[in-house]
Amino acid sequence: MSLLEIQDLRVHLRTQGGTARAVDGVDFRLEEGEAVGLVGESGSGKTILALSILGLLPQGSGTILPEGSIRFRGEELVGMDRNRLREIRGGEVAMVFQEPMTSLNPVFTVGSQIQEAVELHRPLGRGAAQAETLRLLQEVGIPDAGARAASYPHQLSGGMRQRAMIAMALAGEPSLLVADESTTALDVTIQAQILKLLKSVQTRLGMGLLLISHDLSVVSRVCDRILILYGGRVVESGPTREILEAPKHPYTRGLLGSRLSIDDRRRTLRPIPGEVPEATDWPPGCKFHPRCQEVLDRCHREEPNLLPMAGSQGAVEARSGVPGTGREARCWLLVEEEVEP
Amino acid sequence: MLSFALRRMLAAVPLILGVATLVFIALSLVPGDPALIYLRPGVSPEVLERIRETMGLDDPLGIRYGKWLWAFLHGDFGYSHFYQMPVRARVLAALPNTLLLASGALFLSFLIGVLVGVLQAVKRGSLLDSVLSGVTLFFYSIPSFWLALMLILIFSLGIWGGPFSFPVSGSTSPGAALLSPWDQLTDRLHHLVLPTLTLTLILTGGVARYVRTSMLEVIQQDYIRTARAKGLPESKVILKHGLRNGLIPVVTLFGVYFPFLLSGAVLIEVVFAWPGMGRLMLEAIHSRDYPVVLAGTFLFGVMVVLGNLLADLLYGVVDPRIRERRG
Amino acid sequence: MGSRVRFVLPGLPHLFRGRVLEGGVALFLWLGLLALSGLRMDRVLQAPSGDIGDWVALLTLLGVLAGVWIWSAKDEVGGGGGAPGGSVGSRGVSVEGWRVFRKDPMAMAGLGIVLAFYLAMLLAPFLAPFEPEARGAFEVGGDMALRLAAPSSTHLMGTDQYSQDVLSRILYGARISLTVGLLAVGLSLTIGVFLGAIAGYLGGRIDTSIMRFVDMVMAFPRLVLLLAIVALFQPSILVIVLALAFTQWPFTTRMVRGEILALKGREFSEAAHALGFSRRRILFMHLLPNAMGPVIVVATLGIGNIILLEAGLSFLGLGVRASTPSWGFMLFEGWDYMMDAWWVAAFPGLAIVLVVLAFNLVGDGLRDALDPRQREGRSQ
Repeated sequence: MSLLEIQDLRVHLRTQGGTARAVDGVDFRLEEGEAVGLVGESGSGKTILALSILGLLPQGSGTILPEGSIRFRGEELVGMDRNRLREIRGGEVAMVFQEPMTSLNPVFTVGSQIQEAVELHRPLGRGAAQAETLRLLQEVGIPDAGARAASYPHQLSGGMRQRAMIAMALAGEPSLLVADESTTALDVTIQAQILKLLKSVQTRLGMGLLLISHDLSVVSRVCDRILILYGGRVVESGPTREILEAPKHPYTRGLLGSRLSIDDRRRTLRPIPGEVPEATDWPPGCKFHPRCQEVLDRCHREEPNLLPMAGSQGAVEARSGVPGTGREARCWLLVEEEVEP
Repeated sequence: MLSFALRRMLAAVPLILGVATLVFIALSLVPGDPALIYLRPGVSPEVLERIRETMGLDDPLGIRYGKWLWAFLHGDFGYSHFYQMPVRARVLAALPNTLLLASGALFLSFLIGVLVGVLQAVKRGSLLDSVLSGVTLFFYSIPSFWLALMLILIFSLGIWGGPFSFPVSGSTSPGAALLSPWDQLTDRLHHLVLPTLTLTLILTGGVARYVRTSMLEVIQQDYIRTARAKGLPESKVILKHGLRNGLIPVVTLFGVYFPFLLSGAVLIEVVFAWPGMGRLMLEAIHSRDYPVVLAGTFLFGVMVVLGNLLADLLYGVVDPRIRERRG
Repeated sequence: MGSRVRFVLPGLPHLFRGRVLEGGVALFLWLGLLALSGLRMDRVLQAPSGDIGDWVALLTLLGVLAGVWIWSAKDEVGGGGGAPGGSVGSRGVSVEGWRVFRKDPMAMAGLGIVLAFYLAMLLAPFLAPFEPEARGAFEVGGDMALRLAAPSSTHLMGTDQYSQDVLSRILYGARISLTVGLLAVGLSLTIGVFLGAIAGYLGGRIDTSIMRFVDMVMAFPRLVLLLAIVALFQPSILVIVLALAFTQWPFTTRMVRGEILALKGREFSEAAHALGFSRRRILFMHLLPNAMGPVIVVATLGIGNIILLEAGLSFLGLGVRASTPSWGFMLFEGWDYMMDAWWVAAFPGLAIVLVVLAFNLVGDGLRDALDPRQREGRSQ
């Protein structure tokens, strides 16, 4: 039984422009203690995916219910009883958000907000909870924890705030941590620190980590496995090294090609042409085909399934039936490849 | 926090001076003989001359302003020819009644308004929300004196018995002085009900509308999502995390509404014959007793300034971010 | 069918082509006004020899009839409806805003009521079944029986203590209440926008002194300020309009200043500056038009407040004392008769409530239309 198992997750939002198919059939698994990265641009559905896990989708006019299955240690989260869901939130599954400034309540001290989470999920009295709060702050690397706990969010720097958010997430001793773009709003050097923190916390506590980002390099530093998301579906997945060294899907190749690094000799940027279409307007066939450099005839008509790749080096054996565990890509090129000698 | 409070209070002082100055400017702009302002019309020229000398009305403007300001700020508002007593005494008798009426209505309207507003925000889009929106809009739009008249009409019909037969005029019943202190108090309260009710209804509409908007915005915020992600029950999410933030702009409303409250009080005092500052001012206007009018205007201004000060201080208590910003 | 009919019955073809709102209103106005002229032909013919009010009524009647007819004749049904795109430029108040406003039923209802009231006010001489000032009860042979008569089929809203028809008085009374309101708001807007713009844009000492003055004026409850001014400077229409404007301008100034300050920091303002535009040009041609949106909302909501203030003033006996009274004054006179003849005070009060409510609805609708953040459900 996996820590987190997602099967055919679909989230369709009814908007003024039509039905937005934000998440359109996602499957993957995450095991205990595993760090998996989810990479996608804005419009790929990654945030909606993350929010669906804990049932935190924004309630506009009318409730949006995801369809499909999200199982945490075998328990079905979609449509779960509200009381049990609340126990899980912050307790067994915790989430860290992107904007620490707006994600922390500005009128309460940082310490009180963390303590609230502690008291909610652990059987500790007031005094013990307070001590635990300080311990958590220290664990995430905040110096002078006592003073910081008594401060308000606006008095802390961006990096500190993000650390505090992580401390708050750890308060309930979760088994799975979902981090949605937790480093995007930070400076590059701070980013590195936070990532290091996340990795160390994850290994030390044996937690599962689902790291979501638009930045492939961020994810590659921390995660064992990477999933690439486009058009609300997983388009490629596999161990980090293999994805980086031998990407199979044109989109992944495009993402890698449009990165810059200091020792890059190339003189021109190679961005992926075109833009992500609106979630209401997916093209027929493969969702990526209008922007694909290697597009085939078939891509215009049929959307490929997630196809496993045969015999990749060091690949985890694809567990039968469930996609999103081995080395896969959603592209007709794979089929063509296999046909050719 | 303390320095914030002090800074705020200090800022109120020039404002009060400004209020007094504005009154003086208005006074000076009045066409005609300034001495007549202080007297009943139709007085003999000798008396006029004497008044002019004692009041120093022939002095240059600067000196006149200084003397007048000094007197005013010490509570010396001159003599009322209509009531035949120093203005100060007359005004001090009426002031507590207005404050009683205003603070009661303010408290109640904010209490009810917040309740209604939060309810509307949480149940946004429902039938309840729409109904309440209509009700609050209605009360926000009606003239206070019309509502007062309607309430008088309703309560004079005599169909309400016992404790519900609220008196529609004055602050005491005839012969009240003969009653026991407890009965006197009850009698007073009895008279207070309708005026306060009217004023409260007028204000609640605006407060509820504002709270609704504020809470709706708060509910969309990221920290509400974080609170839910922590596993907090929805009631705590809204009432602890949400309301605490949602109330911040409402506190500023407190300051903004104070003048409105007092304007409404004036009309309601007149309709219900409640012996407060508003009624006093109107009587003074009709009997051309200008010293009282000026004193009343000044005091209303001071009340507003103090009310705003209170709101500012409350704002500092409620929003920690404001305490460090420059006053 | 459309081409001929729209010359005879404006609005009908629009109705049939699905443009219910425009068609219905046009048809209603056309038929209604024609019926009115027919029923009151004698009064209409008297108008040219009447006072200015009669002239206004006559011109309004003819003007609206002509307007509806021309609109219907020119507006091709089906193709080419409405201005394409409109000027979206730097203006915040644009065609887009109107489209949103149109969809809001409450706002449109409010707008309808407001326009209906103003139309009724302009056409008062023709609409009113009786003359407003007819103190017949005290003339020899006058009709005492009509004094304080309850609402009936002849006097739809009853009569007051002077045997005057309440409905007619309300129609004529709208003149004071609505005109004073509009004038005062217009004046306060002019002053307020001007002061707010220079305060916000120039900053520094000018800003501080203007805002100090604003704070001082706002320190007084508006009615109290009004009372004081009217007491000191005797009530006349001029004084009252000026006084009302004086109580309103600080709000506008504050709002405009705030908007200008916010816009000043935005990139396009700096860009304009970098391009070498003069300060005055930037202010008037670029910043102000964008600031206008919220200002219009506040102004509309302000009219409601001003009408209430004027009514309050009249109710206290200090209002305008023209030949036709304002609604507040009708309340003042009717107060004593509340017990026996509730209609004398109730109907003017209702008129006030309705108008203010309508302005508030329009103001709310404008705010929703111009401020996209207020709209429902952001998906993220």
